[in-house]
Amino acid sequence: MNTLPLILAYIGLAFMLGLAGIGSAIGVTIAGNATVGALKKNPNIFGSAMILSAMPSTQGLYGFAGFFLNLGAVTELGDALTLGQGLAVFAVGLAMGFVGLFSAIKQASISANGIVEMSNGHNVFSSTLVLAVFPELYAILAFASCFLAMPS
Amino acid sequence: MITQMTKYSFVLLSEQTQDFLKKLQDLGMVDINRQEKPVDEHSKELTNQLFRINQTVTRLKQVAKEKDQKEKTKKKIVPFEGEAPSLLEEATRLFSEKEVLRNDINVLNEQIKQAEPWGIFTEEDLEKIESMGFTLHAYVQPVKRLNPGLEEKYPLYVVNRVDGQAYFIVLEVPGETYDFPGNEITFPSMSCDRLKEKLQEKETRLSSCITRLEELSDHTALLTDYAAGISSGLDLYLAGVSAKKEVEDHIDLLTGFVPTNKKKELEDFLNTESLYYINAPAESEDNPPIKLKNNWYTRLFEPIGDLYMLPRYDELDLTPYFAPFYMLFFGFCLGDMGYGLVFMILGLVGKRFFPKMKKYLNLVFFLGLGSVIMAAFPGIIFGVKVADIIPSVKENNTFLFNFSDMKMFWFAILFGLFQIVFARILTGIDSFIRKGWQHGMAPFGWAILIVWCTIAYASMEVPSLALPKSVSLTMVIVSVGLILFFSKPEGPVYKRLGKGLWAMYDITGVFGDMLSYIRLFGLGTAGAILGMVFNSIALSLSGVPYVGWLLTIIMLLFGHTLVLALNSLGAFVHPMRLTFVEFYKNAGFTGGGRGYKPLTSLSNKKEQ
Repeated sequence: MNTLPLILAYIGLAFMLGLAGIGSAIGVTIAGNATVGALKKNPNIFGSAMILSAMPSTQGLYGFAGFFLNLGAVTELGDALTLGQGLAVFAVGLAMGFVGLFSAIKQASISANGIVEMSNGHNVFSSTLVLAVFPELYAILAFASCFLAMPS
Repeated sequence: MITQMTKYSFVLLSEQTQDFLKKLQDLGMVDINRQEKPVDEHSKELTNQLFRINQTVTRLKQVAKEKDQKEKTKKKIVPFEGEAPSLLEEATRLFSEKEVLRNDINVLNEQIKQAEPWGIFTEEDLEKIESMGFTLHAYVQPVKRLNPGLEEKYPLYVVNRVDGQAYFIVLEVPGETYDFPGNEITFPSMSCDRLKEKLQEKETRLSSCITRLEELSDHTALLTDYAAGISSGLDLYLAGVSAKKEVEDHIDLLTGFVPTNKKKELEDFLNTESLYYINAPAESEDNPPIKLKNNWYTRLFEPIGDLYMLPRYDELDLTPYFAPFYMLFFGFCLGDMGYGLVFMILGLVGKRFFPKMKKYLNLVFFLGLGSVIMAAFPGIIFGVKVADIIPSVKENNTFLFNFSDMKMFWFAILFGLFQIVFARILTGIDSFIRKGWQHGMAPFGWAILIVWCTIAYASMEVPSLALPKSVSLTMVIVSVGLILFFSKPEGPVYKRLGKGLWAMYDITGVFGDMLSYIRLFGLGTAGAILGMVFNSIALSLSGVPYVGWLLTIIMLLFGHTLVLALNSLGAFVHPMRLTFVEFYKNAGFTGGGRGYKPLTSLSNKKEQ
């Protein structure tokens, strides 16, 4: 029984789920901390600050969705998984994991800056909202690549 | 659509200005060119006053909210005897008093905690010890570590033993060296019973302070009206000081804009006034204010457009064009017919309970409709594929409910390309009408080129889509020709060609924009997968004896509410980015217009 493709695929899945989830956890914490600080200055911005704080939570979901898609495919193929397919899952797992990790953290820094400025009385909610989705695109592309590289 | 404006220039004697502006304010339709920010001490004072009132209103509303939560039945409203300024004064004083009292209470509680173990004593007791020449030193040590021999060596008295700690004092005898080993602490300046009395007094004062604030919280409308009055006054003042002074400050020149359809109404008023004015249709160089005029459906999407910026006067208002796309993009990202139905029901039912929010709830309804339409392609309802529950859908291979993930992926890209082409054609038509035919050619060229590229790529996968060679060649030559020669229609041919070549570089931008639409697929699929995961978790719980189905229902409700909330955020924000970045850019939107803000008084503000 050739287990190498399966080992590679499962390591890839671990990266996919783990790193993207860690990124979101760090991201929402950064933005959440900024919100707590900002509320001291201006308690009226809680609603908008909460929306911005939730922005980096999606990368973890993409990681999970990618994991779910590929896990199903890997489990279904089982021993029939080729080395190329295992390697592909490993590669997209790394890509999804790292892109998710950094995109969530960077997105959080934009959100946090927006939240701080909102607490200073500047009306930057909508512009922050638009700018904060810029880094997320790459996590979405990584998720789409998980889908494209799914073994069949 | 942007409302046409007419520009008015008024020439007035300086002493007439304030009176005239007051009348214009009562009329409530002329947007006088004026400063937006305070310009001198008086306007700064008014701005600060407004800030103070708004802050007090917010705090009073918070008090009212807390009161409503505390009391189930509504108490009778205690009338406020006085005007808004005295209400503001009293509320401000009470809020700061409340703050001070809360701090004092915290400090007293801490002091009581420290003083309690020392028991009850009076200030006279301490004075007596001092008058005898002794100095009192206080210590706390664990009882176990308190050496009984110390009591013989030093004038030591254990006051109390609490929680394994011994609280004791040692007297420093005058003339003797004081060398008691241990870390001294501060002896309480007041006995705990005296501190408790003080605490009681502060708490009573705080309670009456809160009661009074609760009474005042019923009168925030008085303050809101007061703020509106000051705001109108500030507006009027800024309009007055923004007048251009001429003839050694004897003449004031004012410029304002009025929607052209209200021109007659304004002129009827102006004819009763003794002043000189001229009018002309507003030009973009005048920087007229922007007032949007759209049908009821498009108006629902205006708040979304407002989140970015208003168009310039000489630009096309893109709201009617992005509105249907936004609705469908939202649906694509939400990716579930079930969630769409929830939104539609929320929109319909919500209008009954929150009539003031009718506009937003109508928007919610249409976003839900978009979700039902778009999620009907893959056929997903609450995380379940319709084809999985109704086998005939799969067997009959119906168009709806049967889109595979791969089809949705390409659909997202094609939908994006369609929006880009639509935006380019829109720019072409608009430039053709506003600037001349030459200006409209390049966008048409881009539209043809993008369509050709799309078909050419698709024909590699599906050969039946391939265009006849002659058509294909014509499309390429025409599109490239239009881009090369009309990207910058002015100047000599070699310059136009150079600029056209540079414009061709934009193909990378189009490619980037196209990829950006993959987010529609990514968000929709991720949401559907999460819904599916919660369904399988919920179903696996059904095997739990006795309470299985209850747990399943709870998990389904919890899971889908969570997915709906998270997906809605993404579905709201990402289409916004596609609109403001991809669509606006391809439609040549510059933006930066200023909103129409006529001078209004308190009375006509209320009427509006």
